[in-house]
Amino acid sequence: MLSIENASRTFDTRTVVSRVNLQLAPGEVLALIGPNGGGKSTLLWMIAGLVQPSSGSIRITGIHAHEIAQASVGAVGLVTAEPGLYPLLTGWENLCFFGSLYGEQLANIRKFATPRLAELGLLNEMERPVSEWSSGMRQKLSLCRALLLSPKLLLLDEPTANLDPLVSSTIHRALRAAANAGIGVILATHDLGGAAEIADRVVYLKQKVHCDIPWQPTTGPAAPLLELYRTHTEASCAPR
Amino acid sequence: MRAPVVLQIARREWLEQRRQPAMLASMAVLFAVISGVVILGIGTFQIAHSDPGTVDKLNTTLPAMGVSPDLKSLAAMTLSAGNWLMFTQFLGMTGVFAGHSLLHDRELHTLPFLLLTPTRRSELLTGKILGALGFPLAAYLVCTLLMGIIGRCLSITQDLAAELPPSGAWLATFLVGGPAWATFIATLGAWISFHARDVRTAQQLVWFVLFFATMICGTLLLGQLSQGVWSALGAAIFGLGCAFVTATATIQSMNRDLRR
Repeated sequence: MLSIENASRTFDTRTVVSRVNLQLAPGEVLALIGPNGGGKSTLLWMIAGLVQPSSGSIRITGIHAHEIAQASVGAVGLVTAEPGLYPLLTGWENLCFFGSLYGEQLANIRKFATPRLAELGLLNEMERPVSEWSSGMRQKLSLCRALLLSPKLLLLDEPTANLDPLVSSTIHRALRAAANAGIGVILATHDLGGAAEIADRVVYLKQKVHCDIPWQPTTGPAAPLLELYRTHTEASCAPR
Repeated sequence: MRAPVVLQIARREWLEQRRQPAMLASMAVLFAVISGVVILGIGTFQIAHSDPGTVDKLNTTLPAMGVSPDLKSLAAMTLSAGNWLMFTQFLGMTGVFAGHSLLHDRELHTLPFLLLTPTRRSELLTGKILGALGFPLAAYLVCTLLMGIIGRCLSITQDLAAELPPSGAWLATFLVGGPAWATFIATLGAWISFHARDVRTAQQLVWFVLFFATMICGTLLLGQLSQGVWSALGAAIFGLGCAFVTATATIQSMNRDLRR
């Protein structure tokens, strides 16, 4: 479903992402881990089509990533560490505004979003301005927006940064449910516990270095993943 | 370009502005103060002009203060200054609104989510500019019309009939030229705020450019008012042309990466 071939991105003279090759199947959850500045966010933005690769190609269901917004409406959902909502607007106004830009009717948006909002515990808050919400509630709404058009691919950049464990757990459950419904999920995170909870695969990314970490969901919780992370950061993952 | 999408973007801008009553009130008060002072000024000159005793007094006192005692000239100057202030404020406010609207999206991190929708860059920019024009245009039209109509009703401004409503030059200048040049300035503000590396730089650049642009455009447009309808219309069409060129350049450059 997602195919990345030799994708690189250079800003001026600084290479942030170097020759990344990656495949993702529908329903698969891939956790992208690595140190700060390692290129995780840039790679996600490249997949979303918001940053073009300097070389290589990124295709989602065969369509170039930078054409995906126009060619396959709503195929990619995005959640970033900043929820990206208008604080003076209510939850419904935010959701309906973004939904309407995708060409959806307001009635359809409400019909589709209501059960998800109920699951995330937001339904009773939707008439209040987002400025009065907690950061966890905003992030849940951001996730609901990303899932609004049943995307094929969901990209998450530190979605649980600064959130309490309960909210993080709710978001992880929602991500697992999305994957079970056939949505491919890529999660860039420093939360190894969260990654261990939901990921099917873990990829380590550090600028000119990227490799699959030999970790399986059956390996267990975060402790082994932390060890693997440490080993890779200390240079066992050789530059190509 | 799809009109419903443009309107959705503009409506969201208006909705957010409506929830900032202090901002809207300060804008309305500014326009009201300008038009109020002008109306009060020309009203006072009218009263003085209709009283021969006052005219005699002014004829003796004003020259001693180095001021011309010609009340008609003073009324014309007041009206002209009011029009110029109204214009420059309208252009400046629209530019700031449009510039800050994109800055606002950058600050709130909503821009990536807007660009992820199938919204075209042209629709996004047009919606933002329409959203920026809305309230300032309404306030500008109400205050300018009020100033013009009251000015037209007074005998002291009868020599200025060609520059007051409903003359062709006035209609071309205020109803076509004003919005046209405001669109140009707004597009300029949007372009700067999209391309500046950070929000503070963008704010400073928007202020810097708008200061000079509003002065130049306001003077250019008002200078044509006394030249007749075709000249005023020419200046308005020139403004539309400038807006089109800036908008096209902005749309083209918005296709680049978000992270530069």
